Amino acid sequence: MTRLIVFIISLSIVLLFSSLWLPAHYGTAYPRNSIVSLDPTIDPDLLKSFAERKPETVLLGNSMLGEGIDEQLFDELFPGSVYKLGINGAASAVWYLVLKNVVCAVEPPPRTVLLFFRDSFLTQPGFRVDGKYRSKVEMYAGPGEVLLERLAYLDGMDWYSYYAEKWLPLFGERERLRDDIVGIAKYSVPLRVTGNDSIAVDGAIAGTFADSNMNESMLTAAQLDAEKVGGDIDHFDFGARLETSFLPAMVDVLEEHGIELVVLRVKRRRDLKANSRPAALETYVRDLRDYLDTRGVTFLDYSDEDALAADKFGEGDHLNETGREVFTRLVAEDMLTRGPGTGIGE
Amino acid sequence: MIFTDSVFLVFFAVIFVLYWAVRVRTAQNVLLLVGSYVFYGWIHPWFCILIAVSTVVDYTVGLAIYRHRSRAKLFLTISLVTNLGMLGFFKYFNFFAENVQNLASGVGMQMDPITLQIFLPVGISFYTFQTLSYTIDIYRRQMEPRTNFIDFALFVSFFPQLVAGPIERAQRFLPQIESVRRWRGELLYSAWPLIVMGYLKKVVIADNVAVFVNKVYMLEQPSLLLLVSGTLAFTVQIFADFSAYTDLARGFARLLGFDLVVNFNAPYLAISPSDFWRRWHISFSSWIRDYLYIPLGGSRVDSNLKFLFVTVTAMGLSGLWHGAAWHYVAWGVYHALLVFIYHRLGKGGRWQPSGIANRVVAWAVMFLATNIGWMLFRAPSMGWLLNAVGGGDLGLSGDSLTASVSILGMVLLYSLPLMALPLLERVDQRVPYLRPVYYAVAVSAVIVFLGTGGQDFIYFQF
Repeated sequence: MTRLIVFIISLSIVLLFSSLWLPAHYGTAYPRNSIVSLDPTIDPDLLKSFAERKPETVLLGNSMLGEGIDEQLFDELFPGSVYKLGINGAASAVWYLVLKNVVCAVEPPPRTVLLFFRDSFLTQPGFRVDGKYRSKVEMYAGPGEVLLERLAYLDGMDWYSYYAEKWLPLFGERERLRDDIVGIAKYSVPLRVTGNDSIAVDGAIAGTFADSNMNESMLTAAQLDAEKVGGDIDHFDFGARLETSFLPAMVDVLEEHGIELVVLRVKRRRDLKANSRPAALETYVRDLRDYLDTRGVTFLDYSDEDALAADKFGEGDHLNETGREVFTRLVAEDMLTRGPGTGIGE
Repeated sequence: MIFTDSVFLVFFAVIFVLYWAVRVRTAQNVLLLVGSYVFYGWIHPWFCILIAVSTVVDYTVGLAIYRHRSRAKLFLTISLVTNLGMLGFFKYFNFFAENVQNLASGVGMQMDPITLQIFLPVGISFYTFQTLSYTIDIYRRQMEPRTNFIDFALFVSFFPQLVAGPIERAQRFLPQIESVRRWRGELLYSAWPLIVMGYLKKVVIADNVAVFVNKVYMLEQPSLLLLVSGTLAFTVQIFADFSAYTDLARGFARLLGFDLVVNFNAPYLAISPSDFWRRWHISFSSWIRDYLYIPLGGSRVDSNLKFLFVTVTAMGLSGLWHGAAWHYVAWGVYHALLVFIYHRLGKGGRWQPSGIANRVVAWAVMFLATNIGWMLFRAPSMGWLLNAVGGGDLGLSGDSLTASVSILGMVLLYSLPLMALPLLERVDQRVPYLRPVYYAVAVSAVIVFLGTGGQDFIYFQF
């Protein structure tokens, strides 16, 4: 009984102290004005690079694009200058921010954007926006990202998480606090032993655990496991997901700036096997195609592309060098001859 | 439904309120039984069919053994075949089919693969062993069968310990189910530290250490130092994860008036293999001892060869219980060899080294041996491990060294709460309020680390 009371008093002291100290330490208001405390700084190097190159065609996606398209080859095959932005781990929230804050901000705007996606990524606004992905969101976010906050964070939040974020700084600031605590062990021990600073440590970890050093089959299994959320049947209900996704906003913002959008579904290693995709995903893609059709957006589907056979894949879902060349040529040719009757995805 | 889900907390809150509101033992047991089936069938309702089959068979067999002693062996065989048959089919069918196919192709025979898409029902290894203890104990005349089906069905399916133990014995747990339970403050006072520790171990320690473990063990060929750091991380992870489940199971059971068996007793402080198995997964190792090792003659061996045979058989099967793969068997056999070697050196049983220096050396040797065992256990395959160990890259320079040291630093950080526990126990009498302060900090850490992991408990897969 006495121990329980001491526990409750101790916990109250910790919560009270953290509620006073953390807002002051991190410079946030108490209670928090905004539930999502982003540190928005649109990558200045990217803006500069865009402004200098003034691309006519922008290729946007994640590592599936990064490993799937050879930018130089595409540039040679397709008229006009090309800018490839394959952001590792990116999903729809980051793509929306890039389109709004980078692609549409450049003058003159590009003519065309090719958006590469897989599964139901286009309608999962809360996918890959927290944890290690938070910094990617912050890299492309501007001040006052109301839609981002609502779709990516608040819509998927429980009521108790909402109030805890607002009133309990220990919870609200947990990501920064966690990084600070773990950072002590992560960086200070190597600094003492090897003399490497935090940048070198991050580089060493990234290099050691690069996809190219991983066992291919285990990496593929881990990727599938990590993306179970994408396999959740509920995520394949396109009609229900559309209005709470960034897709309409992405189409709108490009339309406003007179930029043509082409959406491309990439092939995964899983797609090599017959009947390996959930039936609900096929219905989802059909509904997505119908929606894009009504919005005047071209949809190219490479998920069943025979030219991308097993020998064209490298690590996990990524294409190897040969596959990259094949896919680059395919996309360039299809873009040159696109329109109804191309046969792509039909 | 898992303990770290908010759904579980709501589920438990409803059960808890109704359970203490009804106050009548029979109604309480019915409520717990219904709750247990809801809990177990939450994701896959068909799981409930399997546990119901086990329950009905063993309830009937228990009565039949008692009433028809002349045919007791036949009835026990029915129980063994039913339970081990289901376990064997769901857990080992593909393993054996693949190995038979490999064996046949090794001698030049071509066989078509006959693997099936079998989904392993969580917890089947645990409740199978739990319910078998009932029929075997009746067969051995160590207990009488129960006529109340509800009580027996609850014994098999009691939700706090259903999917990952601890494995309760019928003789110990059934009397608790059959006794009247009244709410008293003592239940809360003994439950909350367990629940706090369970969440600390799972949310803060196990789920975060798992990230490094998974990365190292997913490398095509890790350097030796990376393998060592990843293995140390796994040593922390598996203890934190599994004992977290036990703590939570015991804590939630306490809130319902039950006392589940202690499953861990500072296993990494063991000084010999026998000592380790008296401290690690105690409910399982004692089950193996009582229902496999001793019946095989392990307690009265007269030759080294027989001792080795019995130990390797019992521990090899223990390894296989953990998973249908050869590296689990290798882990079990490895521990059997450790037991045998210590036994031969006169350091088996309850051996205690004299003097602090000897104790420290004995502890260090056993800790090293335990880590080597976990390496076997965690390796994706024996080939991968041989390749990693024999690769020749020590990893004492460059990125590999920096990454290893960084991982070791983080593992040390996450281990601190576990290492503090024995110290807390030492000073508990002198500074009784240090422990509640520790728990308050633990809850704060859980709040900070919420939402980082979200992984299943490791022992669910077994």
